Amino acid sequence: MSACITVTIDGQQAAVEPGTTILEAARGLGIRIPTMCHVSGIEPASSCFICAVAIEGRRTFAPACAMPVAEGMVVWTNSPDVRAARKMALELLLSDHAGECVAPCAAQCPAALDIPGFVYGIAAGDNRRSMETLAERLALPGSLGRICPRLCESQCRRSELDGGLAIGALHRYAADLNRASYVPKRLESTGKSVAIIGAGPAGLAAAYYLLQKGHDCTLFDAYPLPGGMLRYGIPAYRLPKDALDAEIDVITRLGARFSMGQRWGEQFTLAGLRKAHSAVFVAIGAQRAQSLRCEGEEYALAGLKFLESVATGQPPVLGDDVVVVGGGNTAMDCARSAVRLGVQKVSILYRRSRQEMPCPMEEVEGAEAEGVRIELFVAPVRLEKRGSGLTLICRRMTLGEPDASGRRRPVEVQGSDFAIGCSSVIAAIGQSVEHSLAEREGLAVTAWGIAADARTLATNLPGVFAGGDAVLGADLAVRAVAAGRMAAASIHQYLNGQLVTGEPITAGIAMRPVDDAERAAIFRGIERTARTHAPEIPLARRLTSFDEIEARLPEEDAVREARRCLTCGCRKADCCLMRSLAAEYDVDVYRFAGARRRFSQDLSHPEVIYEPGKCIACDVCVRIAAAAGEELGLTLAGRGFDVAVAVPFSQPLSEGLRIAAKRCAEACPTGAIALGSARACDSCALGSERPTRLAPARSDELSGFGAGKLPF
Amino acid sequence: MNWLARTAAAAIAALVAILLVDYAVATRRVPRDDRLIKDLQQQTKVDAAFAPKLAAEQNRVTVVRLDRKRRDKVVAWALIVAAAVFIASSKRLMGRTAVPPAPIRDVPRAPGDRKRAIAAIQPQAPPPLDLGFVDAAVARLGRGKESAIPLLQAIQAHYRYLPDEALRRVCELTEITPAEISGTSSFYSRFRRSPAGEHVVRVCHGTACHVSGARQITDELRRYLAIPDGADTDLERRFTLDEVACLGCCSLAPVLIVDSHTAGKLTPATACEALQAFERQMGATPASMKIRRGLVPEGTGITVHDEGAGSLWAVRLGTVEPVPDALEASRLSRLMRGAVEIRVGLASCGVASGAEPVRDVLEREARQAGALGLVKKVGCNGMCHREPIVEVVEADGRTALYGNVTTEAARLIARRHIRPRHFHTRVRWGIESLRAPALETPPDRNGSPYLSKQRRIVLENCGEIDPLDTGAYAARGGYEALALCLAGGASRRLSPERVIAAISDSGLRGRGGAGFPTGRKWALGRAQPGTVKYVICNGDEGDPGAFMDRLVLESDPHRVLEGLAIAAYAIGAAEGYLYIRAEYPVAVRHVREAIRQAEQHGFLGAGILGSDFSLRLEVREGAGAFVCGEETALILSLEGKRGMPKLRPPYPVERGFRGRPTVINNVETLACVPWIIRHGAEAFAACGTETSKGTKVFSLAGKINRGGLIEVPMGITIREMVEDIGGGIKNGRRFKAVQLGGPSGGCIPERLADTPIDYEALARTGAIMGSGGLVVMDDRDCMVEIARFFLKFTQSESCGKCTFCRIGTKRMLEILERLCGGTGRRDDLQKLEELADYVSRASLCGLGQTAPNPVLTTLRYFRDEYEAHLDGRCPAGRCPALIRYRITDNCIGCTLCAQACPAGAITDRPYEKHEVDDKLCTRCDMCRQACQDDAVEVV
Repeated sequence: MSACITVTIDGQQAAVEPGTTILEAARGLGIRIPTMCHVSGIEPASSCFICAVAIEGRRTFAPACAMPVAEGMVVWTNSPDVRAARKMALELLLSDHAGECVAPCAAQCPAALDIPGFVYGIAAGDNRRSMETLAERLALPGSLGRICPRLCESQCRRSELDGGLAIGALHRYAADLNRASYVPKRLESTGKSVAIIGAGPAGLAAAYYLLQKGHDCTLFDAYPLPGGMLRYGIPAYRLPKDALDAEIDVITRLGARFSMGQRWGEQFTLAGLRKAHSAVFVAIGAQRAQSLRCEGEEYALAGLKFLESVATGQPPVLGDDVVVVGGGNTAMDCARSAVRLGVQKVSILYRRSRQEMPCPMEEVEGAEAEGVRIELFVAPVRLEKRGSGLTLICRRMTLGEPDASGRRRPVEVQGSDFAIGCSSVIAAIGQSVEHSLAEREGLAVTAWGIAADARTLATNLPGVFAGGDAVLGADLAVRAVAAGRMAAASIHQYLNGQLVTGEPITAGIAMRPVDDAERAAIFRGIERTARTHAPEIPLARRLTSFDEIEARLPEEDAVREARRCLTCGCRKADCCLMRSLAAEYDVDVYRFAGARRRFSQDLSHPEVIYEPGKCIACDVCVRIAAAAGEELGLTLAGRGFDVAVAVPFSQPLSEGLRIAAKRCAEACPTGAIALGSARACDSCALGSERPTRLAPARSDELSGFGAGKLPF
Repeated sequence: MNWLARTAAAAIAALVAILLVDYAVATRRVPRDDRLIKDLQQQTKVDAAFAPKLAAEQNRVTVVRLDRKRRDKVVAWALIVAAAVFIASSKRLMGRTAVPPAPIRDVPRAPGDRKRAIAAIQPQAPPPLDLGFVDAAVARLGRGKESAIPLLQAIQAHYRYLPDEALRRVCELTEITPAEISGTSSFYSRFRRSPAGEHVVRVCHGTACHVSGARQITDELRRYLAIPDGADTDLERRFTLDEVACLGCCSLAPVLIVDSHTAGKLTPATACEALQAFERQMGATPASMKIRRGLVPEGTGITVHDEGAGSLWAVRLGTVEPVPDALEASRLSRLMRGAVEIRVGLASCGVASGAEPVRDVLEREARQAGALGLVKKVGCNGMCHREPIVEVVEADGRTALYGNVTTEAARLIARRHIRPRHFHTRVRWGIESLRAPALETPPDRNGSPYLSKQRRIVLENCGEIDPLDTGAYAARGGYEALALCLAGGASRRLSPERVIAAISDSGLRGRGGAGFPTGRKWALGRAQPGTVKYVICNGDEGDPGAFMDRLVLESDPHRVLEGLAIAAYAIGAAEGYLYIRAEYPVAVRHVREAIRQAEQHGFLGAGILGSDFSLRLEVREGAGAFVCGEETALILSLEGKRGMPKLRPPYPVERGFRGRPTVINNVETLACVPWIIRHGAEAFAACGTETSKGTKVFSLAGKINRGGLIEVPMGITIREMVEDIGGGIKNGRRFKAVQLGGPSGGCIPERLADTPIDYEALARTGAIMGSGGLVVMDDRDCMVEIARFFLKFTQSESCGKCTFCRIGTKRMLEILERLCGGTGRRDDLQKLEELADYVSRASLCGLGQTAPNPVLTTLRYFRDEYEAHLDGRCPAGRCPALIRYRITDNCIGCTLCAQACPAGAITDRPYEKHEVDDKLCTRCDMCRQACQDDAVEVV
């Protein structure tokens, strides 16, 4: 062979044979250049430009996969300019990507739970696997299965067809079946200890994940029992205490130490904890109830206090006629608890319309069914004590311009005051973080709570992390549980002396908007079946006891419901090159949103599924098919923006790929061609499992492309 | 009508009524009074007692009559005044006839009517297929993979589309796989996958046509042909309407071609008339034509040259410009002179302007005069703005150049310049000429400012010789250069090395756009190992707004063949290809014929001119892909594949066609070669600037008085080209910018118009020399819209390979469309710049790398216009979404605008001020162009 060529790549010199590409030369030096359309052994397509590198003296970027080295060439593979080009290439590719990395339900979940994953387990009869999937993202799956407001269900694709999947009920089903038996493994002890202030959902979740990593955890809490708001803020008819105890029991079994009845500032200080422990997680929640903010507010009961007293079995004397002020979950909980305590007349006052109520509509309907009267457009003006009773002076409201939250601002109607006589008033109009103590101990704070980095949850003090309601202000339990998990990841990094970056970020793209043709492609061949509802106890029992209202789904129902899942999301979500690069380059997937490919599916092939909307037109599959000697094979059809991979003569994929389907699926850098089996990622390096859509819901006559016919 | 006119009209009516009543009363009363007085006179004669009564009666009658006269006089004056007021107030005073041209067409504009009209047409099923043709075509064109595109072209020509069955048959018979044939056939825009109509109407959407209203013509033709939305063929399958990137007839813009017949200088109305005329000529009057006839008025300003089936067909449309230098009064004195040659320009644009009937007239007259062979068909001399052109060469060598020649003018030219052989013809012509208007002597060609500033090397023969007359070419030094290389003893022959040295010394650079030194390319080609090498002439002139290659190939094909032969000799190739756009049928025909002739004469083929050098040349037609002008894509296209450019290196000169060293040169580059060899490198290098030598051919088009093809020495300024050669801006408007280099080029503003034509100087402005399209724009052209136009072109021509070019240009186009639509977003300009930067740096081929140029240059020089669009304003009044049309008080109610409006947005109310219905208005500007009173304004 002729003499070697000397090139300089990122400052390192290499001597390579003529004809070597920059990519090969760089790999020889141990320099990684990302690629998408490049497949070893196939002539480079050099189309995606992810492998773009800068060569000194050239204005244009060169595709490293195809550009041969030349004597004296100086190459930069990771300069800011090169990275910017790669980032833009990814953003452009993603702007023309019709598909979704994760299902819309999972994308909406604050805890990023793999919903199709656990639902698949139930449908397949593998409940243990469902539990593993749940536990991966949620420390308290049983509790959340009951009380989560289920943002996911509203996003369910199926809600556009025949009603969204009962994700919450399935969630609880899987958790309840396995709660007692499933205890995750604990790694060998690291000898490091973490102090967690607050044994609420965030604190428990942090402990759950930190313990698994082998760290010791001590939870400090002012209350006698752990659980926080889950125990003291949520009535037993929604979350029975034994269900909560079962979950805490798992954490205890993992080795958590509870130091109960310890109040911050009284029994311990942050400074003290920092000395005694390697790290501290502050998860104090939002404990301060907001007062009525009107004259005579001292006569009103705080909603949180009321719920706490109910939970501890010492309910106050309410009288016959209770007025609850507020429209959130706490207000509903107070009103419905009051009903259960035997109060004759319970009413709720809310200053906006029913649509603006922050709690789920089922809660409102449940309260109404139990006899709670809801007065809308009413705000308290003054509370007066008259003898044994109270008089609440109220004012009518009307809706004005939308405010910062997007809800229309209530406006007072002058001269509309009226009086309501009652025995007690419960104020359930919000809660906030009691952060004066934290501030005194040197933690930075914001208007809502303790200041912490959104991704790592690190505070301004080294080794101190904060999350949950303590940071966000009063929020959903599921977000608190997610925050605990995130904090655990950060604290683990901190304890290992790594750079604290938080949980690995994943990029994800969703189809938006979905047009009619795409919807038709998604629902093609899907049978309409109604949503399954969980059984409820009779109303009479609801009125008199704190028994849990909803029961667990019977097995038959659960499996039937799970089988309704369309298993949205991408089969290659965990091994998609484009997705992992998108995360690596921190792209804004919607930056160049514009006209894009249509989502469609070719399900004709027994082994693989083709979704042209996810194709990046790199034609790797076309060349694999040609090299394999396929009779029909694949071809690039059309040109320009509309270029697409298609089977010649409008044939279905089953005709086009008779030999090379598996190889094409493996080589495809995105999820455009994916193995149709349940373990789509078995063959790839990242090797993770993704469920596929279950067979029964589809009829067999389907073949060919979904949306629009491609030429030939 | 205003209130004054209405009052005056009322007064006139009242006054006329008074007069009528008076007259009626008088006609009854006068005879009665007369009889009464007569009777009284008789009685007075008998009895004097009646005298007082007679006197009294006479007195009364006199008073009554005088009263009436006085009253009538007053009324008459009042009537005159009222009439004057009426006329003045309704603007009847100006002496222009404002009578509405009688009955306005009865156009079914309402959607319901249209639906009914369309429903009346019976859709026709495509005919059944007979695959025998495919077998024959394969037998004729070969079974190799390289035959793919010729086969597809043949199949499409036969079936008018590519039926699946035919393609499957091709795969059975040849080496071509289904994947290959599907990929290739879906890549090129000329290939159709659904059956086309009997006739294909191709409307040019090149730059010049775009700025002259091609969009409106397409829209009107869709309406006229009742083509359903989303389809391109009418339900009867008679016509398929196709939008093409550029037909290369920019000086006739807007242009359309029906089958192979061209019509130019169209308006929406005349475009429909052209189709009607075409249908009439085709002899068919199907039901749909009757329906359609209701849609447009019968043609008036249209003449069809009907010379039997298959003849080329031309329309003269709109206002026929008077032949400027001809038809002035003068007498028969010049009859005694005799011309030695009469040249008629018969290149595409000449034919499109009606040169063929002119030639026929001249030939007929020459035949009469016994001077057959006097009339020569020549190519184009570049003065496209004056086609058809007739040039007469006198015995003394002087020439007379007649422009815009009509058939009548042609007869006069013949009578003037041809001296009949026979005495009786001379007498007859003499007598006839006494009655006919005579011609004024036109200036000599060198006296024309259009030609005098030019320097003709490439175009030296264009418009002067018959393109298909090898002898004529040879008589002007043709094939001399090739002979210098091949003939004569070994000592006198120019060796390949000396040829390359001469080309290098001349400083010739590639004229296709990038300007790579030709000598260096050839030297590289020569240095490559191996015995099999190829030369390719790149005639895939895809830039909208450029047509120099078409013109050279049509008007002087032998020159290109000679240049290609010298290139082959220099690098040592024995095989060559000419890749020519399929949109240039005349060029393809001429080159094929020229190759045949050259082979006959020993200039091509085996053992050229007795030497051991052989060269086989072949013409390959493109199939409609701009990107195939790129070398690597062109090679793939020749190989029958999708024209998707590849990374260079390896360069084609190392590994090109069939993996062998290949030298690809542009038509214009090759056309320079024989001249350089003949006249020497120094002669060529003497012309031009430091780094840019020789001349450059430009297609001058747009808002300019004299457009066409011009060849100028390098170093001339843009302003000289626009003002001296082009004669300045049309209609006295302001010169705003030139767009140079087509979609890869950029816009150079007027303030930089003194930039010389030089590769480096132009690159500094952000534009490029490109292939030489030069479109001049005035203050009514919106620069954002122009950028959008070019980007739309490159975007649609992107092969779709590179991420940045495929998606990046799409996103850029979306931003520009938002801006033009008035929905721009705050960060759009920044995004646009960022995209432009990376698209130009992260694309494999020239198309992607230069696609952002029109955007970058307009952003650089006209950023204020972009910002105005962000604010929802279009300063040039061009972007439809940002403007509104309004009729001012200047309106005289002549209804011309209403007749011109294709959308029916103006209701015609004669004599009343018109109004534009904003909801129906499509902003096509037809009303403003139609109005003769400046009463239509853009707000």
